[in-house]
Amino acid sequence: MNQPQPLLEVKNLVTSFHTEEGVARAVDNVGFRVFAGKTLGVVGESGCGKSVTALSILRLLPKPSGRIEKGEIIYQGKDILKLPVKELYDMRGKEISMIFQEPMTALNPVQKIYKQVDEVIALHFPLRNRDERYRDILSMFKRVGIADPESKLNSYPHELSGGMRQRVMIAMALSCRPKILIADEPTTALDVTIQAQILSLIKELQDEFGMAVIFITHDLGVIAEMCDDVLVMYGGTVVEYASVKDFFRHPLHPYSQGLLSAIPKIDLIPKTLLDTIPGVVPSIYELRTTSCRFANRCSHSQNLCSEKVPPLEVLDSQRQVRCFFWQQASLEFSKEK
Amino acid sequence: MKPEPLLTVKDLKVHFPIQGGIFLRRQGTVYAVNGVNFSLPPGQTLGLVGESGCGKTTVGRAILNLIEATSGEINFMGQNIHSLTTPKLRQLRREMQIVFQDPFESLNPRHSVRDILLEPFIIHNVGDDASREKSVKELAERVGLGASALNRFPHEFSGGQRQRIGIARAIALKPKFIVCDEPVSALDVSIQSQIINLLIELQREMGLAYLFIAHDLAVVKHVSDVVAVMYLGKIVEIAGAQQLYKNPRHPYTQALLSAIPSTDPEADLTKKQILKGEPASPSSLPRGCAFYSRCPIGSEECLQKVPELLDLLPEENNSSQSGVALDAHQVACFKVPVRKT
Repeated sequence: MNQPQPLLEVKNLVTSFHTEEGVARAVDNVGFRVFAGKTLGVVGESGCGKSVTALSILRLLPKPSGRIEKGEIIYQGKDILKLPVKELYDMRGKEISMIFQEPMTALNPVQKIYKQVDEVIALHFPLRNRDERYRDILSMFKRVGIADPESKLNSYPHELSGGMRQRVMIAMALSCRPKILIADEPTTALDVTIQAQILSLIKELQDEFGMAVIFITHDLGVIAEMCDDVLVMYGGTVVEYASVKDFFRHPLHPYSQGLLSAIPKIDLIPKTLLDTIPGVVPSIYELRTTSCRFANRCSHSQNLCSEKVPPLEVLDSQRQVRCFFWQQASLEFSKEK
Repeated sequence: MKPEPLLTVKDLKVHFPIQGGIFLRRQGTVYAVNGVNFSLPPGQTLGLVGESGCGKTTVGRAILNLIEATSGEINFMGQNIHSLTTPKLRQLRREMQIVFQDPFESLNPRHSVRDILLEPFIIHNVGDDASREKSVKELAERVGLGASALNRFPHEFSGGQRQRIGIARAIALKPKFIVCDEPVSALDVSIQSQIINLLIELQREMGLAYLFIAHDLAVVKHVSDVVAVMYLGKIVEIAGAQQLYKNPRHPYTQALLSAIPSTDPEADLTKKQILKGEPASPSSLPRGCAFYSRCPIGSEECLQKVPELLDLLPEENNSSQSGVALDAHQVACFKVPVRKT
């Protein structure tokens, strides 16, 4: 069988922040592939580098502190990191779009919704006239489930609820029919019932437009529901890559196992103590670069783990894991279950 | 026999005026809490869930009298807290504490951990310097910070550790009751379970009662004996934790439970109930049932009257295990068979 061509391929990405507190390698040697019509989930805790990876793809890092030190991001045969600014601008929003956790900070508070959405389309399709654009926007707003779209277009962001704002963001991100949508915690700030609406909307639109989605979240439930593959990040590195099914059935990395057993599940007996990962989430300024980054919190760690950085072992095209002792760890984990 | 409840809340209402114009005239009212009843036995946990704006936080604050209630009665340890004089209320405050959601904003950045933990002892004039120092050390050890943390300042700690400081402060005077207002919502998954375990252990050791407010249903179920679901200022369903999750009866509870993303990638998503629309604004409550606009089974009747919270008929109550805390399962819905009063 022929391997399908990836739409986007990230190779050995290294991104760091140069600040007064020192240099922090927020993303260290991260690589993955994104396929058309598929959803890749990126999961990890705060500071693990998942958002910075996404921002690096669109070269949206804060300047001057954020820098991409190394790596390639190949989209349609071209390295995004080497594109001239003009071409980069053409691509943002048209080929690859992004939605954020807090739509209020991504929308301009002093501009009406219509103007903000129109700007995107006008920029990428200079030949369309005003009326055509208005028609496009209106049909897109209807498509994402915004009731009474005419009046919403004429309002300011603060007049809308959180769920509505996220719908506006989605409409805006999809107005140019991008091939890739990067969703950075799009439902974290929303209530569960609204989250369910937005998740199913993203899924429907993905089926309709056939786009690839990179879904960044800390919620494993969202991963299970939305994604085909999952990339687990810890301390700026990839610790595991797997299909969603494999990941939830047989997580290989001790960190993945810890995450899965730490979430309270509905069928647990109330008030029993939960499994925990001891210790604290590391700050990006104090990452260990000469050993396994998870070693100090890991129940399987041995001397080797604090001496060397474990390599990212490629088990097959669907599975990668960064741990010296994953075989032992996964054996014990499945026994406990 | 049932134990005497530690806390009883009767028909609690909290309404906030909306003021505007140059003379700040009252232009409307936010009905944040609109008639809430429950009771909490000592040593148990009542979980309060609901979406943002449903009034769950306001209930917690009103019980501690941090927000003035518009009407209703709050009895704590047999005393009506609204009828107490200020010094009496202050005495009672020793027994009721709160842990906030945001450990970044609820700790004074200029105070060391020692100062933060000493404050309750000073305010309530408990012990002398030596015994206070000893207690503060014990507290820091108990919540897993270690005595070395005492000389440090809040900004030196991560979110999870700050939450431990907040918990240490709350248990300093050995209270009987703590309001936990979204105590783990701001924390990472691996830290969340550490804090939940700490709260469960402290409850066992000290016989604490919790009012546990959160929007994460899995977390609430895990820590609670009884769970109450709120929608627009009212409780729509209340039952034992296991019972509520096994046999949810109110359409809102059912939708809430079904909306939680399951960690089983093979779960059947087509069975998922997705509610349409968004909650009405608490400043312009609809007539009749507040949930009607989003309800999949609502009818004419629901538009006319507000359903009361009533006992589910016993034959509908198919819980096999002996009820841990409350045997009652109450639902506020016309479409559910309840015992008419």
